[in-house]
Amino acid sequence: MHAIARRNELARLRRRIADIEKREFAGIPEADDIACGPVSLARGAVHEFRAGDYRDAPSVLGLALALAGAASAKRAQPIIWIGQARDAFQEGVPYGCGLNFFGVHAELCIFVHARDAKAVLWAAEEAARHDAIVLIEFWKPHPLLDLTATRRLQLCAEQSGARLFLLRDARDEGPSTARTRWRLGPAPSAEDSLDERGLGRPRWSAALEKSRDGGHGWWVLEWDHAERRLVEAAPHSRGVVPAMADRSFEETTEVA
Amino acid sequence: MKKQQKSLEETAAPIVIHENAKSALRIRAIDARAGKLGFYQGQALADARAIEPKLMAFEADAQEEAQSFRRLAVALMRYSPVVSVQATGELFIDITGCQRLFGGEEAILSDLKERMARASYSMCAAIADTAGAAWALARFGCVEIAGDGAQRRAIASLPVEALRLPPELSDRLRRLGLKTIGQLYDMPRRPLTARFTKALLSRLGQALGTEAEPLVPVIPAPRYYAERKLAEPIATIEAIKSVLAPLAHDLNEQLVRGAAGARRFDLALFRVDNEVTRLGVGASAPARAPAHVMRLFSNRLDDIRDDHDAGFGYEQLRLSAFDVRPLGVRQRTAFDLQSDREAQEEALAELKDRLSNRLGAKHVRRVSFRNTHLPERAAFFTPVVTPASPSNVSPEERPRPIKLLPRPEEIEALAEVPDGPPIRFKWRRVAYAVARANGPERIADEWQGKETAGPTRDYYRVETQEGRRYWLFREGLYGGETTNPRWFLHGFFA
Repeated sequence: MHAIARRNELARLRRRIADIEKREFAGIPEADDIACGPVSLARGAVHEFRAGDYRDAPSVLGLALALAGAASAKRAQPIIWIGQARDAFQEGVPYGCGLNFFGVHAELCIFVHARDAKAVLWAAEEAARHDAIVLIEFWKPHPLLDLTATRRLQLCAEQSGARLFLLRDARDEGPSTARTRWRLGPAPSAEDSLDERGLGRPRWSAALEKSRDGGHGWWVLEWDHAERRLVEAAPHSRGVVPAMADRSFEETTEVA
Repeated sequence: MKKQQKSLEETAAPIVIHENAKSALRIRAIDARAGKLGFYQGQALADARAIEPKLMAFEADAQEEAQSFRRLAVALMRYSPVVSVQATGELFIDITGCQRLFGGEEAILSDLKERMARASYSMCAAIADTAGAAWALARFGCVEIAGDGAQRRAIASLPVEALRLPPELSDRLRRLGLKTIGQLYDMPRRPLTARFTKALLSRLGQALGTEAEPLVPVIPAPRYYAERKLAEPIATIEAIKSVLAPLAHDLNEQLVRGAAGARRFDLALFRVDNEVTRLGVGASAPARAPAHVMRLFSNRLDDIRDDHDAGFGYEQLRLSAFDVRPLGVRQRTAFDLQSDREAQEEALAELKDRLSNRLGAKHVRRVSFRNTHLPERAAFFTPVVTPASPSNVSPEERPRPIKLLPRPEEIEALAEVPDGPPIRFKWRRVAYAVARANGPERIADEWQGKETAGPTRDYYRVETQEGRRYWLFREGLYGGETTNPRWFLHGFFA
């Protein structure tokens, strides 16, 4: 019993040190800093994107692609897109011709179609060991994606500097240790200046539900294709700028 | 070497294999018991049955025979990577340079004999400098091993049939009194060629070593390979990995010396009972680093952990490099951006290899583009481990979805005007109200004239009231190709 208590205490202290170290470097802007609204999405971390509705999956995927494209514009890095092969008929397959719109270079992408959830997680972990952007489509809840699995992904990412976008369904109550957790969905676009009935720039409603760095908020984001960047859509936005609040460690480190 | 059917110890009846030859069922092969009773090859089966009614006769299956003989040849690759099957029942093993592993030619021969006897095969074998001489000695000889350069003397007294000649040629030689190979040695070449065609001199030259005889191996022989013969058979995955590590190291040294890397590695595990397990892994770029090779095999070995059957264990392992390409030696200096990028590319290549080997090459892909307007053909996937073919086709410039359904799904759509965008549609039993739409973008099937030619499609990008975006199309030109157009959902935008 004593041994277990001591181990837990040690683990807690290690995490605390790791957090302090991360914070010290937070002030230095990274070359490929990418931001989702006013929130910077750190390297070497798992970012969890949850779709509020199963039909919002393509929209959520699009936001992840937009972020990947924005990061690639600053520094070319491979994009590893992992999904389950059998979802193809239900959800479609990645379409190379549409990636350019979000500034993603199709030739930098590796498309992995894994057999099952286990293979997806294995591939994700392998990919996370590489300095890359990893998109993991994990729309269907699965017991394998548990606290240990997400923590393993997080550890791999921390060592390599990879950014992992874990795409899940909001109904998936599975726990996670992701650095940030978002609830995302599409938002109606503003009208196109040339065609009043046509589609405007794609928009997302983005709610930051949880962040290890503190802060939360809600924004409407818009993809600026010409500038290859994600901007806040002014007319609708009523976001709350998150302070880099120094919350107590007990609250931020452990997620049930 | 002559293979005969395994004899069944339990049955007392003699066993023969028969085939249809010279307008009768004739015996093709016999077991030891049938041999004792005086049966012989070519004997009519009816005659044999008359002598021994209990005779068990089986019909020959040339295909099955060839297959099982090939399996045997693969099992005998333990002696050398170069094993060549000339005809079913005959095979050559090129043991040049392999004697060291087994401790000499005598040791190889006795190991082979013992192994074949254990597996209930009867055989004849001989070792000589040339394949021709070895064949002659195995078939007709009294010595099993002709020493270095001794083939000329060793086969001199053998009959001319030992030269692997067509029967009519050896018959003609006999009729002229030329009965042994030695008699041919001092004959003038030109008349021999004139009377017996070039085949005779060619065969003689091959036997004596004055003419080269390339052996075509059952499995292409690697130029670089490393192997270990184990004193004690091993069975566990961990044990295999521990033997594999020094093999990968040896192979790396050879490849470095040859300034080469390989895109395919093959691990052959030779079982005590003559079965061979072969594992292959591929690399997207020429590789040789032992750590990389080990990781590739590590995944493969973990995959077979549950269902691999080691039998009585593996007694020999061989790691071979295939698809060998030049790979220079790189000197890496610190703070060198060039080498840093190279290191990253190397790491990415390793990642591709690991993923491809574990999940299957066809599941780890990159995308390429074709010069076509047909959306489902415009982009296609190829395995990342296949070398990229330089293509200057860039993707379609017009707006395209990020995900495409493998097959467009029919939807119920309601349009305000017949040739306009839909205002409502129903897909997978859910209704959607369209708030915005762009289109049409007309895409005509360019395979006109072929059977696959489909009707023209008018594509619309639509946004629902919630902001979800879909790629829909109407099939057929309204009023032209059809009066009742069908609608499909083909892709998803973000």
